[in-house]
Amino acid sequence: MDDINKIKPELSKIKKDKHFRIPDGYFDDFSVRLGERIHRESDAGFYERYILTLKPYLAIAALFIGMIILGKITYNVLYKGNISSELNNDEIAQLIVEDIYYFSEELIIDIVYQNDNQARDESINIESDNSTNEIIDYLIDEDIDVFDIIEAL
Amino acid sequence: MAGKTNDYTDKELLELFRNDDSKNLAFNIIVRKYQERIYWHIRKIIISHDDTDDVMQNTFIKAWKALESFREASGLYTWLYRIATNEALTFLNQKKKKYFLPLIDVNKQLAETLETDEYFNGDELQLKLQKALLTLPEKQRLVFNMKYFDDMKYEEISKILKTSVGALKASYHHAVKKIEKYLTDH
Repeated sequence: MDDINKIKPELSKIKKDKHFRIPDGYFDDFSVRLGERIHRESDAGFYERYILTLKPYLAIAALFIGMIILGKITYNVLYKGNISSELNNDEIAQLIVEDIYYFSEELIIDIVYQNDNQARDESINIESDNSTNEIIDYLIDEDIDVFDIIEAL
Repeated sequence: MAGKTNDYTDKELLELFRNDDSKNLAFNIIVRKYQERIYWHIRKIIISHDDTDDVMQNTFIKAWKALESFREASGLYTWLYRIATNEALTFLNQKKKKYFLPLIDVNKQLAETLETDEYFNGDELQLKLQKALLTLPEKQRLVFNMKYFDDMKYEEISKILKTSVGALKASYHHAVKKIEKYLTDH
Protein backbone atom coordinates (compact mmCIF):
# COMPACT_ATOMS: atom_id res chain seq x y z
CA MET A 1 0.00 0.00 0.00
CA ASP A 2 2.88 2.41 0.72
CA ASP A 3 4.06 1.79 -2.83
CA ILE A 4 0.64 2.80 -4.12
CA ASN A 5 0.71 6.02 -2.14
CA LYS A 6 4.04 7.01 -3.57
CA ILE A 7 3.50 5.98 -7.15
CA LYS A 8 -0.25 6.44 -7.61
CA PRO A 9 -1.35 9.38 -5.54
CA GLU A 10 -4.83 9.69 -7.05
CA LEU A 11 -5.76 6.10 -6.24
CA SER A 12 -4.49 6.33 -2.70
CA LYS A 13 -6.90 9.21 -1.98
CA ILE A 14 -9.92 6.96 -2.51
CA LYS A 15 -11.38 5.12 0.46
CA LYS A 16 -11.48 1.36 0.11
CA ASP A 17 -14.64 0.77 2.11
CA LYS A 18 -17.62 -0.88 0.48
CA HIS A 19 -19.63 1.60 -1.52
CA PHE A 20 -22.27 -0.83 -2.66
CA ARG A 21 -25.36 -1.44 -0.58
CA ILE A 22 -27.53 -4.49 -0.39
CA PRO A 23 -31.21 -4.85 0.46
CA ASP A 24 -31.94 -5.34 4.15
CA GLY A 25 -31.89 -8.96 5.24
CA TYR A 26 -30.48 -10.14 1.92
CA PHE A 27 -28.00 -12.58 3.41
CA ASP A 28 -30.48 -13.80 6.01
CA ASP A 29 -32.82 -15.36 3.51
CA PHE A 30 -30.43 -16.07 0.63
CA SER A 31 -29.81 -19.66 1.70
CA VAL A 32 -33.58 -20.24 2.05
CA ARG A 33 -34.28 -18.95 -1.46
CA LEU A 34 -31.37 -20.97 -2.80
CA GLY A 35 -32.65 -24.12 -1.10
CA GLU A 36 -36.10 -23.60 -2.65
CA ARG A 37 -34.60 -23.21 -6.09
CA ILE A 38 -32.45 -26.34 -5.74
CA HIS A 39 -35.49 -28.26 -4.55
CA ARG A 40 -37.56 -26.95 -7.48
CA GLU A 41 -34.92 -27.91 -10.03
CA SER A 42 -34.38 -31.38 -8.62
CA ASP A 43 -38.17 -32.02 -8.66
CA ALA A 44 -38.50 -30.88 -12.24
CA GLY A 45 -39.74 -33.63 -14.51
CA PHE A 46 -38.63 -34.42 -18.02
CA TYR A 47 -40.83 -31.67 -19.44
CA GLU A 48 -39.49 -28.91 -17.20
CA ARG A 49 -35.91 -30.04 -17.46
CA TYR A 50 -35.59 -30.68 -21.14
CA ILE A 51 -38.58 -29.55 -23.18
CA LEU A 52 -38.92 -26.13 -21.57
CA THR A 53 -35.18 -25.58 -21.85
CA LEU A 54 -35.10 -26.73 -25.46
CA LYS A 55 -38.32 -24.99 -26.47
CA PRO A 56 -36.73 -21.89 -27.99
CA TYR A 57 -34.21 -23.99 -29.92
CA LEU A 58 -36.93 -26.33 -31.17
CA ALA A 59 -38.89 -23.28 -32.34
CA ILE A 60 -35.86 -21.98 -34.26
CA ALA A 61 -35.25 -25.42 -35.80
CA ALA A 62 -38.93 -25.65 -36.84
CA LEU A 63 -38.68 -22.18 -38.39
CA PHE A 64 -35.67 -23.20 -40.50
CA ILE A 65 -37.33 -26.43 -41.62
CA GLY A 66 -40.48 -24.50 -42.54
CA MET A 67 -38.44 -22.00 -44.56
CA ILE A 68 -36.63 -24.79 -46.41
CA ILE A 69 -39.92 -26.53 -47.25
CA LEU A 70 -41.45 -23.26 -48.40
CA GLY A 71 -38.40 -22.52 -50.52
CA LYS A 72 -38.56 -25.94 -52.14
CA ILE A 73 -42.27 -25.59 -52.94
CA THR A 74 -41.69 -22.12 -54.35
CA TYR A 75 -38.82 -23.39 -56.48
CA ASN A 76 -40.89 -26.29 -57.81
CA VAL A 77 -43.80 -24.03 -58.70
CA LEU A 78 -41.74 -21.25 -60.28
CA TYR A 79 -39.17 -23.21 -62.22
CA LYS A 80 -40.03 -26.82 -62.77
CA GLY A 81 -43.69 -26.11 -63.47
CA ASN A 82 -42.99 -23.83 -66.35
CA ILE A 83 -40.38 -25.72 -68.27
CA SER A 84 -41.45 -26.46 -71.73
CA SER A 85 -40.21 -29.82 -72.71
CA GLU A 86 -40.56 -29.45 -76.41
CA LEU A 87 -37.82 -28.44 -78.76
CA ASN A 88 -38.72 -26.12 -81.54
CA ASN A 89 -37.08 -26.20 -84.93
CA ASP A 90 -34.52 -23.54 -84.03
CA GLU A 91 -33.46 -25.42 -80.94
CA ILE A 92 -33.09 -28.68 -82.82
CA ALA A 93 -31.03 -26.95 -85.48
CA GLN A 94 -28.87 -25.33 -82.81
CA LEU A 95 -28.27 -28.71 -81.16
CA ILE A 96 -27.32 -30.29 -84.44
CA VAL A 97 -24.95 -27.47 -85.39
CA GLU A 98 -23.23 -27.50 -82.01
CA ASP A 99 -22.86 -31.24 -81.76
CA ILE A 100 -22.78 -32.23 -85.42
CA TYR A 101 -20.36 -35.08 -84.90
CA TYR A 102 -22.34 -36.63 -82.09
CA PHE A 103 -25.89 -36.31 -83.21
CA SER A 104 -27.81 -38.87 -85.09
CA GLU A 105 -31.45 -38.93 -86.04
CA GLU A 106 -32.04 -41.57 -83.38
CA LEU A 107 -30.50 -39.34 -80.77
CA ILE A 108 -32.70 -36.41 -81.77
CA ILE A 109 -35.75 -38.64 -81.57
CA ASP A 110 -34.62 -40.03 -78.18
CA ILE A 111 -34.08 -36.55 -76.76
CA VAL A 112 -37.49 -35.39 -77.89
CA TYR A 113 -39.20 -38.54 -76.57
CA GLN A 114 -37.25 -38.28 -73.28
CA ASN A 115 -38.54 -34.77 -72.74
CA ASP A 116 -42.04 -35.91 -73.52
CA ASN A 117 -41.84 -38.75 -70.97
CA GLN A 118 -40.43 -36.45 -68.30
CA ALA A 119 -43.27 -34.02 -68.77
CA ARG A 120 -45.80 -36.87 -68.51
CA ASP A 121 -44.19 -38.34 -65.36
CA GLU A 122 -44.17 -35.06 -63.54
CA SER A 123 -47.75 -34.39 -64.62
CA ILE A 124 -46.71 -31.11 -66.06
CA ASN A 125 -49.20 -29.59 -68.40
CA ILE A 126 -47.30 -29.28 -71.62
CA GLU A 127 -48.60 -27.53 -74.61
CA SER A 128 -50.51 -29.82 -76.87
CA ASP A 129 -48.74 -28.53 -79.91
CA ASN A 130 -48.03 -31.42 -82.22
CA SER A 131 -45.01 -29.85 -83.85
CA THR A 132 -42.60 -32.21 -82.09
CA ASN A 133 -44.47 -35.30 -83.15
CA GLU A 134 -44.76 -33.92 -86.62
CA ILE A 135 -41.03 -33.43 -86.85
CA ILE A 136 -40.37 -36.98 -85.70
CA ASP A 137 -42.93 -38.44 -88.06
CA TYR A 138 -41.56 -36.42 -90.92
CA LEU A 139 -37.98 -37.52 -90.29
CA ILE A 140 -38.96 -41.14 -90.12
CA ASP A 141 -41.29 -41.08 -93.10
CA GLU A 142 -38.96 -39.18 -95.34
CA ASP A 143 -35.82 -40.92 -94.19
CA ILE A 144 -34.06 -37.62 -93.92
CA ASP A 145 -30.39 -37.27 -93.08
CA VAL A 146 -29.27 -34.71 -90.47
CA PHE A 147 -27.24 -32.87 -93.09
CA ASP A 148 -30.37 -32.43 -95.14
CA ILE A 149 -32.01 -30.86 -92.12
CA ILE A 150 -29.15 -28.44 -91.65
CA GLU A 151 -29.30 -27.46 -95.30
CA ALA A 152 -33.01 -26.93 -95.05
CA LEU A 153 -32.66 -24.74 -91.93
CA MET B 1 -26.84 -19.95 13.05
CA ALA B 2 -24.32 -17.36 11.86
CA GLY B 3 -22.00 -18.17 14.77
CA LYS B 4 -22.17 -21.90 14.13
CA THR B 5 -20.83 -21.63 10.60
CA ASN B 6 -17.35 -21.07 11.97
CA ASP B 7 -17.49 -24.17 14.17
CA TYR B 8 -16.91 -26.46 11.22
CA THR B 9 -13.79 -26.80 9.19
CA ASP B 10 -14.06 -27.28 5.44
CA LYS B 11 -13.09 -30.92 5.84
CA GLU B 12 -15.86 -31.53 8.37
CA LEU B 13 -18.38 -29.79 6.17
CA LEU B 14 -17.43 -31.96 3.21
CA GLU B 15 -17.79 -35.11 5.31
CA LEU B 16 -21.22 -33.96 6.46
CA PHE B 17 -22.18 -33.17 2.87
CA ARG B 18 -21.25 -36.66 1.69
CA ASN B 19 -23.65 -38.14 4.21
CA ASP B 20 -27.20 -38.12 2.85
CA ASP B 21 -28.70 -37.41 6.27
CA SER B 22 -26.67 -34.25 6.80
CA LYS B 23 -26.20 -33.14 3.19
CA ASN B 24 -28.68 -30.27 3.31
CA LEU B 25 -27.44 -29.04 6.67
CA ALA B 26 -23.82 -29.09 5.50
CA PHE B 27 -24.61 -27.17 2.35
CA ASN B 28 -26.62 -24.63 4.29
CA ILE B 29 -23.64 -24.03 6.55
CA ILE B 30 -21.29 -23.72 3.57
CA VAL B 31 -23.57 -21.13 1.97
CA ARG B 32 -23.84 -19.09 5.16
CA LYS B 33 -20.09 -19.32 5.74
CA TYR B 34 -19.04 -18.02 2.33
CA GLN B 35 -22.03 -16.14 0.92
CA GLU B 36 -20.86 -12.63 1.84
CA ARG B 37 -17.35 -12.95 0.48
CA ILE B 38 -18.62 -14.58 -2.72
CA TYR B 39 -21.34 -11.94 -3.05
CA TRP B 40 -18.98 -8.99 -2.86
CA HIS B 41 -16.53 -10.61 -5.25
CA ILE B 42 -19.33 -11.04 -7.82
CA ARG B 43 -20.82 -7.63 -7.11
CA LYS B 44 -17.57 -5.83 -7.96
CA ILE B 45 -17.61 -7.50 -11.36
CA ILE B 46 -21.32 -7.37 -12.16
CA ILE B 47 -22.13 -4.07 -10.41
CA SER B 48 -25.92 -4.56 -10.33
CA HIS B 49 -27.33 -6.18 -7.17
CA ASP B 50 -30.11 -8.05 -8.99
CA ASP B 51 -27.71 -9.54 -11.51
CA THR B 52 -25.31 -10.39 -8.70
CA ASP B 53 -28.11 -12.27 -6.95
CA ASP B 54 -28.68 -14.35 -10.09
CA VAL B 55 -25.00 -15.14 -10.46
CA MET B 56 -24.74 -15.97 -6.75
CA GLN B 57 -27.54 -18.49 -7.06
CA ASN B 58 -26.01 -20.00 -10.18
CA THR B 59 -22.68 -20.26 -8.38
CA PHE B 60 -24.03 -22.12 -5.39
CA ILE B 61 -26.25 -24.36 -7.49
CA LYS B 62 -23.17 -25.39 -9.48
CA ALA B 63 -21.37 -25.97 -6.19
CA TRP B 64 -24.26 -28.10 -4.92
CA LYS B 65 -24.08 -30.31 -8.01
CA ALA B 66 -20.29 -30.62 -8.05
CA LEU B 67 -19.46 -30.76 -4.34
CA GLU B 68 -19.87 -34.52 -4.22
CA SER B 69 -16.88 -34.95 -6.54
CA PHE B 70 -14.84 -32.06 -5.13
CA ARG B 71 -11.30 -33.33 -4.89
CA GLU B 72 -10.06 -30.89 -2.25
CA ALA B 73 -6.94 -30.09 -4.24
CA SER B 74 -7.64 -26.46 -3.48
CA GLY B 75 -9.49 -25.12 -0.44
CA LEU B 76 -13.28 -24.96 -0.50
CA TYR B 77 -13.28 -21.17 -0.58
CA THR B 78 -10.81 -21.06 -3.50
CA TRP B 79 -13.00 -23.52 -5.35
CA LEU B 80 -16.16 -21.49 -4.73
CA TYR B 81 -14.37 -18.30 -5.65
CA ARG B 82 -13.33 -19.87 -8.98
CA ILE B 83 -16.88 -20.97 -9.76
CA ALA B 84 -18.16 -17.49 -8.89
CA THR B 85 -15.53 -15.87 -11.12
CA ASN B 86 -16.42 -18.09 -14.08
CA GLU B 87 -20.13 -17.55 -13.59
CA ALA B 88 -19.66 -13.77 -13.44
CA LEU B 89 -17.55 -13.73 -16.60
CA THR B 90 -20.07 -16.01 -18.36
CA PHE B 91 -22.83 -13.63 -17.34
CA LEU B 92 -20.99 -10.65 -18.83
CA ASN B 93 -20.27 -12.57 -22.05
CA GLN B 94 -23.92 -13.53 -22.39
CA LYS B 95 -24.88 -9.93 -21.88
CA LYS B 96 -22.53 -8.92 -24.72
CA LYS B 97 -24.05 -11.53 -27.04
CA LYS B 98 -27.55 -10.25 -26.32
CA TYR B 99 -26.81 -7.00 -28.15
CA PHE B 100 -26.55 -7.35 -31.88
CA LEU B 101 -25.26 -3.83 -32.46
CA PRO B 102 -21.46 -3.85 -32.27
CA LEU B 103 -21.28 -0.37 -30.81
CA ILE B 104 -22.99 -1.23 -27.61
CA ASP B 105 -20.42 -1.48 -24.87
CA VAL B 106 -21.49 -3.57 -21.91
CA ASN B 107 -18.99 -1.94 -19.59
CA LYS B 108 -20.28 1.47 -20.59
CA GLN B 109 -23.76 0.30 -19.75
CA LEU B 110 -22.55 -0.94 -16.37
CA ALA B 111 -21.00 2.47 -15.70
CA GLU B 112 -24.30 4.15 -16.53
CA THR B 113 -26.10 1.66 -14.27
CA LEU B 114 -23.84 2.74 -11.42
CA GLU B 115 -24.86 6.37 -11.61
CA THR B 116 -28.52 5.59 -11.13
CA ASP B 117 -28.15 2.50 -8.96
CA GLU B 118 -30.00 2.89 -5.65
CA TYR B 119 -27.59 0.37 -4.14
CA PHE B 120 -24.50 2.43 -4.88
CA ASN B 121 -23.71 4.86 -2.09
CA GLY B 122 -20.12 5.78 -2.79
CA ASP B 123 -18.86 9.35 -3.03
CA GLU B 124 -17.79 11.07 -6.24
CA LEU B 125 -14.25 9.72 -6.11
CA GLN B 126 -15.43 6.17 -5.52
CA LEU B 127 -17.83 6.47 -8.44
CA LYS B 128 -14.96 7.70 -10.60
CA LEU B 129 -12.84 4.74 -9.49
CA GLN B 130 -15.60 2.28 -10.40
CA LYS B 131 -15.93 3.88 -13.82
CA ALA B 132 -12.16 3.65 -14.23
CA LEU B 133 -12.33 -0.04 -13.35
CA LEU B 134 -15.00 -0.57 -15.97
CA THR B 135 -12.59 0.61 -18.66
CA LEU B 136 -10.33 -2.35 -17.89
CA PRO B 137 -10.67 -5.78 -19.53
CA GLU B 138 -12.65 -8.12 -17.28
CA LYS B 139 -9.74 -10.27 -16.17
CA GLN B 140 -7.58 -7.30 -15.37
CA ARG B 141 -10.46 -5.84 -13.37
CA LEU B 142 -10.73 -9.14 -11.50
CA VAL B 143 -7.05 -9.10 -10.60
CA PHE B 144 -7.28 -5.51 -9.40
CA ASN B 145 -10.36 -6.20 -7.28
CA MET B 146 -8.83 -9.24 -5.65
CA LYS B 147 -5.51 -7.57 -4.97
CA TYR B 148 -6.55 -4.04 -4.11
CA PHE B 149 -9.93 -4.46 -2.43
CA ASP B 150 -9.73 -8.03 -1.10
CA ASP B 151 -6.03 -7.82 -0.27
CA MET B 152 -5.44 -11.35 -1.52
CA LYS B 153 -1.95 -12.73 -2.03
CA TYR B 154 -0.79 -13.32 -5.57
CA GLU B 155 -0.47 -17.04 -4.83
CA GLU B 156 -4.14 -17.22 -3.85
CA ILE B 157 -5.21 -15.28 -6.94
CA SER B 158 -3.04 -17.55 -9.06
CA LYS B 159 -4.93 -20.65 -7.83
CA ILE B 160 -8.28 -19.04 -8.58
CA LEU B 161 -7.53 -17.61 -11.99
CA LYS B 162 -5.02 -20.33 -12.97
CA THR B 163 -2.56 -17.66 -14.06
CA SER B 164 1.08 -17.38 -13.06
CA VAL B 165 2.11 -15.03 -10.27
CA GLY B 166 4.34 -13.10 -12.65
CA ALA B 167 1.50 -12.51 -15.10
CA LEU B 168 -0.75 -11.39 -12.26
CA LYS B 169 1.82 -8.90 -10.99
CA ALA B 170 2.19 -7.46 -14.48
CA SER B 171 -1.58 -7.31 -14.92
CA TYR B 172 -2.06 -5.55 -11.60
CA HIS B 173 0.71 -3.07 -12.35
CA HIS B 174 -0.88 -2.18 -15.70
CA ALA B 175 -4.32 -1.93 -14.12
CA VAL B 176 -3.05 0.52 -11.52
CA LYS B 177 -1.36 2.64 -14.20
CA LYS B 178 -4.51 2.77 -16.33
CA ILE B 179 -6.70 3.67 -13.37
CA GLU B 180 -4.33 6.38 -12.27
CA LYS B 181 -4.37 7.85 -15.77
CA TYR B 182 -8.16 7.76 -15.86
CA LEU B 183 -8.44 9.46 -12.48
CA THR B 184 -5.99 12.14 -13.55
CA ASP B 185 -7.67 12.78 -16.91
CA HIS B 186 -11.29 12.89 -15.66
